[in-house]
Amino acid sequence: MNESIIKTERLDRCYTTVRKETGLLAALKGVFSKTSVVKHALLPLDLEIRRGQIVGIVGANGAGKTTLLKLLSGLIFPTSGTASVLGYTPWERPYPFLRQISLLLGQKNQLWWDIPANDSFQLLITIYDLDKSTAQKQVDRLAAQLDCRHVLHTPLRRLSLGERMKMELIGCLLHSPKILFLDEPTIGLDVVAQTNIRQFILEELKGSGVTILLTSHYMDDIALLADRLLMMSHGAVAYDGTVEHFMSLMPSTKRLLVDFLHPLQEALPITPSLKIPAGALSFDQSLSSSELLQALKLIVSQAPIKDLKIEEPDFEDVIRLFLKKEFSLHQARHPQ
Amino acid sequence: MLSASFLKRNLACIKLGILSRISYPIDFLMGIALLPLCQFAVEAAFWTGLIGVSGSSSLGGFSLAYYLGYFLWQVLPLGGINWRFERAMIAEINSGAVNALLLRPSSFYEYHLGQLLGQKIISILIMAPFMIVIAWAWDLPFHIERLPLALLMGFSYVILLFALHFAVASMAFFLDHVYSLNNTKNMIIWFLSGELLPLDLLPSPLREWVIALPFSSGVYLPAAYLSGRIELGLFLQGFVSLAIGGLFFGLLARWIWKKGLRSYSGTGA
Repeated sequence: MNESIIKTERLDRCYTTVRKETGLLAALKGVFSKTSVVKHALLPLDLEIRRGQIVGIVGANGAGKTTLLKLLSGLIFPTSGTASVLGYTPWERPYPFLRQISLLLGQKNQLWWDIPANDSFQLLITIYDLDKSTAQKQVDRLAAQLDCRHVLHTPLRRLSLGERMKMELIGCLLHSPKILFLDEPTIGLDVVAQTNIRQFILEELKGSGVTILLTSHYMDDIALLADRLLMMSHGAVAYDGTVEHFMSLMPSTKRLLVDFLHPLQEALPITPSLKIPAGALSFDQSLSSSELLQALKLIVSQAPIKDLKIEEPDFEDVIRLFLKKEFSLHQARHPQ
Repeated sequence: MLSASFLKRNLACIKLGILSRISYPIDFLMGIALLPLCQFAVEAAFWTGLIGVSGSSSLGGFSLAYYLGYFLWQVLPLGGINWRFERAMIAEINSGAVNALLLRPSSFYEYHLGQLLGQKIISILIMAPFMIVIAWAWDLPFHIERLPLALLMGFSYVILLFALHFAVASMAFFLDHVYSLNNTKNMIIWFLSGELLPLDLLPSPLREWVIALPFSSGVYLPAAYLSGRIELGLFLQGFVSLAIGGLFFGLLARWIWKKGLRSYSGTGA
């Protein structure tokens, strides 16, 4: 299990896009002269991932998460640097490599839209050159586990988003990949469907030896599933470690939630930079211990309270705080 | 070397082409039967009118029956331009639907070619009897014994044309929209294949040049051969230009595809 399965050295990727000015005249000018903008989606990255790890990749939009997945799965070429995934250079996409990986894109269908999922699976069985009866048993087992056997013969276009995602997962796992790239697998799903997919990944894949790289904007996905957290910001890895360690790194804060009986008659200054404005009916803020004490004193003495709660920060709060801090640092370093 | 898994994969793509087409039965029947029959009816009306107003019983040395026999080839979907298919390939690259195909152990080329051939096979199985019945009912010049060779040329042409379509579709990796380029290409092929008019009506030496190009194997050569406008010698030359053209467009498609992949940004993911 300690064997390194993914290794990158100075792997980076730039995208060149054309800058288009607003307006008809500018658009006409743009036909003859174009201004290209180079964006560094991933800064030179050295990374090593061991077999069986579940790596949660977190970051704001444009942080480089999906670019990293696309590079490691072989979907795109890098601008420079090297990567070895299962001993192969991913973007060369040799068939023995492709037979051992799967990429699930939460925002894209990968099965065939016009035909029932089971027909898609039959096609995948042929494409991956799998034993038909073993693979069909795998389909039945996974469908039973995901509670979706009843829709196996319905055209994909007729299924709900949650059902489609279950089918996509079965399609991804059919050939028993050694590495699974999951790009926002729960995006757009309702809470029940999210929980089902999360639970399925936990029961079916965690500890099975399959290496998973998972990106998600739902922090519950990462907190529950990931052994390792990669926090990305502006194309670079800002944190690499366990979720628990990451939580311990952040300053201790607590969330204070207050509902007032009546709108505040005058503003309450909690710190020089933080005050509750006059007219407020509620207050919700993560505060340090000293700020919390100060706030409690002021509120209890000066405001009519309807309800008051103090909560421990959850993973999502900490991530938000971290990214906010990272953003300020980036702005300071790159004012343009 | 053709491995068993390669053949199985391609057969599966052919099956997918048939399955996905018949998933929409009304559209399938309209596209496969009604559209080509309408196309034939329009050609029949046009050439009947043209020869009628010319005040002669023939045009370019051929009677109306020869023209109708010639355009009977249009009933089979081998030489005509398949707009739907090319648009699908371009849309897949533009929208990022190609991502799923790139990460499976099969190629985008064989995936689409297999489907295209699947759709052609099922269309021909349905439409060939219509073709024979029309020829018999209208007593058109139609040499049924020449049909197998004509079909062989038709399928070879589909493979050649697919390589060209693939090359143009692969340009979508570089350009945001390649629809106009595609339409321009199709317009040129429409003329060069003989779909617009029999190529023997062109003045010499343009006629000889155009017939020597591989595109004439799409409509002119098989249609003229089937209807008796040309003989075997000229018809067989078509296979030579098809082989040369197929190699050229195949290499061109491969080159553009490989270059395209290097610049691809994994759209939509």
